[in-house]
Amino acid sequence: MSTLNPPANAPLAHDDHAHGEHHELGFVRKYVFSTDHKIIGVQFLATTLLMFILGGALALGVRWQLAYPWSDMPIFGRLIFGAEGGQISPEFYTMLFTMHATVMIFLVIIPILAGAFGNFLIPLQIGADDMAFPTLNMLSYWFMWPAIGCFFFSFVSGGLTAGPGNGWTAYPVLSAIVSASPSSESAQTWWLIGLTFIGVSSMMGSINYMTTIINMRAPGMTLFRMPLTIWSMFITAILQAFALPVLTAAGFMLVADRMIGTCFFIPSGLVVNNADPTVGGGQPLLWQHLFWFYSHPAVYIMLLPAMGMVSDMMSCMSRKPIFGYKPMVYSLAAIAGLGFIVWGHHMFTSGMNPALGMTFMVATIMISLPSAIKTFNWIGTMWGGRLQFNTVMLNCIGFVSMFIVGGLSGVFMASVPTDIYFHDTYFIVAHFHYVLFGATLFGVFGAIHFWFPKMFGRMMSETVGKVHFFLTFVGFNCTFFPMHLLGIAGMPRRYADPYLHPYLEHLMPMNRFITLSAAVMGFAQLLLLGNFFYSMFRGKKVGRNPWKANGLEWSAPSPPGHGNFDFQPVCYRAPYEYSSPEAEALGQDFIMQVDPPPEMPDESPPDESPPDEKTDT
Amino acid sequence: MNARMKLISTASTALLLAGCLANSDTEFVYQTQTDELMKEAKKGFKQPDGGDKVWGLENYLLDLFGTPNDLVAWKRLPVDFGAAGNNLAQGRKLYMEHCMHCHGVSGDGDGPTARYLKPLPRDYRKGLFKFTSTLASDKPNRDDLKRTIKLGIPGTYMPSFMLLTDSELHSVTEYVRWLALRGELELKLDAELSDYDNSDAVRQSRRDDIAAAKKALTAAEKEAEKKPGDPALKAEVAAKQEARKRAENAKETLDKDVRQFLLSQGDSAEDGLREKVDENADFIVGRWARVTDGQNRIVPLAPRTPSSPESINRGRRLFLDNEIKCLECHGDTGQGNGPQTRSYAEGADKPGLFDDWGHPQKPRNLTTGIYRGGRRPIDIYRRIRGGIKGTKMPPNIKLKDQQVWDLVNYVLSIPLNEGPAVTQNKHDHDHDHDHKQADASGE
Amino acid sequence: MKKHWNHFWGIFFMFWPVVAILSCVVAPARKWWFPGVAMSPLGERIDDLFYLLLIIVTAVFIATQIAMGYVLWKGASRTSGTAWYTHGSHKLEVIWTIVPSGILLFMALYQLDVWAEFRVTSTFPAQARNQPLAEVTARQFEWRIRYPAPDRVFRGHDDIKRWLQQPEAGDLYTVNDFHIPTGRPVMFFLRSQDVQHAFFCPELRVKQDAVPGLVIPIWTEAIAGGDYSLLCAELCGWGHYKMKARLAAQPEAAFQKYLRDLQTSQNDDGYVPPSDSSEQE
Repeated sequence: MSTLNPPANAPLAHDDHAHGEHHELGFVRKYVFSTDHKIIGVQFLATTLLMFILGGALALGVRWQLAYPWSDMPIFGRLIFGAEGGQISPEFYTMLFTMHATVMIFLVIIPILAGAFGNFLIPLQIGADDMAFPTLNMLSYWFMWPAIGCFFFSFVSGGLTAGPGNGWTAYPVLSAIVSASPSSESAQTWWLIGLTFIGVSSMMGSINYMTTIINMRAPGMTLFRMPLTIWSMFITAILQAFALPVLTAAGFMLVADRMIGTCFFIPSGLVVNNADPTVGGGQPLLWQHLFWFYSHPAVYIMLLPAMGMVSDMMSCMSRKPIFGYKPMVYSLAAIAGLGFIVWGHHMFTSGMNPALGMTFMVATIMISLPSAIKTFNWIGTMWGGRLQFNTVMLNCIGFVSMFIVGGLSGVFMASVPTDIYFHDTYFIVAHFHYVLFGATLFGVFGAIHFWFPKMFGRMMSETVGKVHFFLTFVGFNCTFFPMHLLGIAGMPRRYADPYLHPYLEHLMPMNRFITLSAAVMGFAQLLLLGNFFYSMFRGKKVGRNPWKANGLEWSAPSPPGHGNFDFQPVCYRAPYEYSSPEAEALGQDFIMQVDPPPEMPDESPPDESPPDEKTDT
Repeated sequence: MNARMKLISTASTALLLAGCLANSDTEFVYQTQTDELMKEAKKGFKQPDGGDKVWGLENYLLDLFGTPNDLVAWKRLPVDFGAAGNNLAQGRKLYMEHCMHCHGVSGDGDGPTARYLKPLPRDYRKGLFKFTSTLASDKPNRDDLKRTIKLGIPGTYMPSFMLLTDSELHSVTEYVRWLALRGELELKLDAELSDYDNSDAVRQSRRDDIAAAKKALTAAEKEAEKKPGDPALKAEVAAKQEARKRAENAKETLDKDVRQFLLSQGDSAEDGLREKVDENADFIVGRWARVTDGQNRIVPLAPRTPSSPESINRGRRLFLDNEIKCLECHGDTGQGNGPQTRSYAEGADKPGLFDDWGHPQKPRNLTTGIYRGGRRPIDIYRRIRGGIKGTKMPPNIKLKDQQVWDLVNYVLSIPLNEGPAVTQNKHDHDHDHDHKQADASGE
Repeated sequence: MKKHWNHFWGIFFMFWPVVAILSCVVAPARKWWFPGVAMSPLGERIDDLFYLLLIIVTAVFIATQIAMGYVLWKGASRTSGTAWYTHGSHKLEVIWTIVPSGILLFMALYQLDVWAEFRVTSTFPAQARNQPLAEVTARQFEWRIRYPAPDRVFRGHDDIKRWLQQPEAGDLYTVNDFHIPTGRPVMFFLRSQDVQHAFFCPELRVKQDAVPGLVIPIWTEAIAGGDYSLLCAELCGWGHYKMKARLAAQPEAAFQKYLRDLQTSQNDDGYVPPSDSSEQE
């Protein structure tokens, strides 16, 4: 589709998209099995926010055990371990941390970034009326539910205390031999099936996004006029497409090992739990390679969209263009590209060939370069800006600040000699929580506040948003920064009772402090949920562009109706044109991407320039 | 830690515990026999004259042993409770941290993790422990239990707790012994009470008796109505009435006997449950106390014959001998696949061997080099001499020490061979038989 | 009023990096730090690398936080007028691409030889490599150690391989109590009987996964005697946290005596020579 000769502000051409008769859809087709990307985006958002609470509850269970080992655990202990006085069993603990990670990674972060925001924003920001494959899009959401069902069923299939407990990394031989642990019985199979479903959902989304972004941009929207959100979603989709099949294959191989006696990952001669010796011929390390080949790009899948969205938001709230747009784009691409050749850094101590350790170390250390460049550019974006310290901006600054910590702490694991000490300790836990929660989730919180008005035509409460940010930020730092120190002290991860070991006994007070902070942080998330669901119905109503932002989505109604735009959007300029001379010529501090240049004859449709509205900052 | 951390630690504890305070209480689990037995006997009931003491098996056990959160140190038991019972408390704390999730709160081998383990964790409540240094009919001594805890049991999920301090090891061993004693006493009292079998089945049968008697009476009365005045039929009715009265009395008598037994606080040992408790406790205590000071241990009278090809060969011939019968279970190559693993025990519906806890039991595969009870020569010696309690590995006191040492040498050599032990063939056996007879005459 | 609030946020974001750095400064004194100095030569080099990285990382951290603090403060102050309209600075981009690249490449290449000495068998000290000390087998949930007989001398790689494949009559076995001599490099083999485990001795800075199906050589050297912690660092099931063992480093003579004592107790036949009253069966 040509984007070079835009028909200026032409009326909406219905022939552009395959569209049958306009008929009024019933409630179920309109809101439940909808093919409208906006509804699907909101469905993803609501589902993932609920899963977020579940994942958080599991984490609080982990924290309780670490603060008060073998004591009467609220809720989990009382309900399931009444006969033992509320004291959880060790395999239950392994389930807690395994499912915390699984739920957070596969049911919260990946769907909320790609499924919720990707879905909602991509067509709006590129000026399309929907995704390239709307039905596939709907299926992508609905495939999440079998995944949720499988994961929930895995909690109970083997008995309440035998949920999946082999880590979200599910390393064989532990996960491959059914009798190797209580969690390795049917729970592990259900977990793998759930993983496959969520993989299918992601894959559908990835295909949709790539096609939509390549093919359905509005006239004038060249690749280098796309907002960074779109760039990040695009590159993320490519990451998904190339990396996910490897995980799916590995998952099938593991299911086969468990159920039909193949031995892809099982060496011979092992006697586990007094079962018959394994027939063997396989290599446990193979799983690690296949798994991390996906899961390392997965962590960039979990980061890049947030980076893109933060760029959009930060630029808007600083009232100036993003600092170094092209370097930002190239950095995104570099992170993604390099992300494919660093998976071995999860395996430095695994017993793989030491030469691989060297190559992966060099690549991993170099991958911090594009991330550093991005960080400098964000600071550059705020430099000289007229900063609006609203909830959105606070979350974005939190993103940058936490990303700095998370990125820098990664250096210690990238360096193989120090990784020998830090691998599988709490240092790693601190690192990835800083990048996944501190960076990505703060970006997501900001994005929720930022695009909420577009989704629902109402604003979320600024006050509650700020309180939520404050509590989360304080709670987060108090929870996860001390974990660096725990890691340096040598506290291993995935330990139900580290205090058995004399050199770790003195760490209990710090663990208690962390648990307390985690509880504060966890309960603060209820503020966000409350704000979200309340404001959906009772928030202050706003028009098209409450933030005075300049992306294409802000020229559509809030919320956009079917087909998104009520005029044919044409893109005249790059994104982030805040405080430009062009804008000043119009007497405002921004000019939208769809605004024709002031010199051109003004053939704009009547409601092209959004009315001026005050927003509280 | 300084004041600030203490403050934070206390504040955090207080905060998190506030509102979560209802403590779920745990109880010791009763054995199936107890559950099936007289319900009243298990629970107890108040004295008929309204006194507030409650009698019954469950209440005695509660009185004398307490609940998991509220232990009682009954002085009669040969357990080192420590000053003010703190040994027991420490033992319990360690047990809950390290042992409970497999061995269960009551030591019943049925903790949350237990069902996923092969073999199942030990159920202490029969007072049977496998790997001991004492005679076949004796309890384990403290050292045996400590050794098991310290070294673990290789080839099972019982890990080595090598790094417990001596005091911790001692207190947890005492707690395990205490749990075993409790279980044994409970079983013995079950046996006493089963004389007064008032289980549901029996009660039901008594009720059935009454119902049958009533039915017979009604039938007899109907018959009598058809022919009034017939003396034979009248006598029949009278007899059926008697029968019905007897059936009703039997039930009442039974109830009365049970209550009498439970309530009685008479002088003689025959009288009531209280007496039986003490009597049985003394019996059990005696058996445990008998081995505490190193008596009744299996100790060889001759030093070990040094391992040599000749000794190993002699040992192999003994192993294959039809009178000693090692190969019946362990198989002729020592792989644990002897004929007994395929045959049916009396009354069993599955082939193979079963241990005293009712679980299927595989004879040890001697080719692996994994010795659950320890790999020292004395350990193997004790397995052969003393058997393995609770299993079908029988003790052997007939063999001479030299012969046992030859067997020990052979057993220890099996994993070191390149292949399985040579199977016996007829010629070999005959020759060995002759040879053995010659030896026997010379001993 | 708004200006004050905005400045509050600027200070708020600067507060946390300061707390972070302060906590790291006080951490060693409070023992929220390494469990002691590294007790092996390679461990010392790892610690040196750690401190080097820490210095670089802290410097970058402080620099970026100061930059961020500056832009936040200035941005908070600018409540009127337009923002600075710029699309970036090519020069700055080049500088902050090249300089970090250089630092990062330096970090990457500088460490390669430490890694090689840790893992590449041919760089292991010959003395350790030719006479392995023990075979450590991890299983659910303990460490089982097998030493060769005290007088066993290995003659070459094939001999070692044979010993690894087939236990010998004089081998000594312990569990959860691994003794090594101090003052000389030692090598041992790590295996697993069932699932993946990892041999982790924090004081010696040694960590290596135990992979079922593989036999992995590890070398280390204890500078000083003592009881060090040995624990599992790869999730192996419900007892992962319970694999508590001791790595006891002793002077050579004490170590040899330990092996001989172990040999004696392993060959214990329980026979007590009769004194006046012999034990009856």
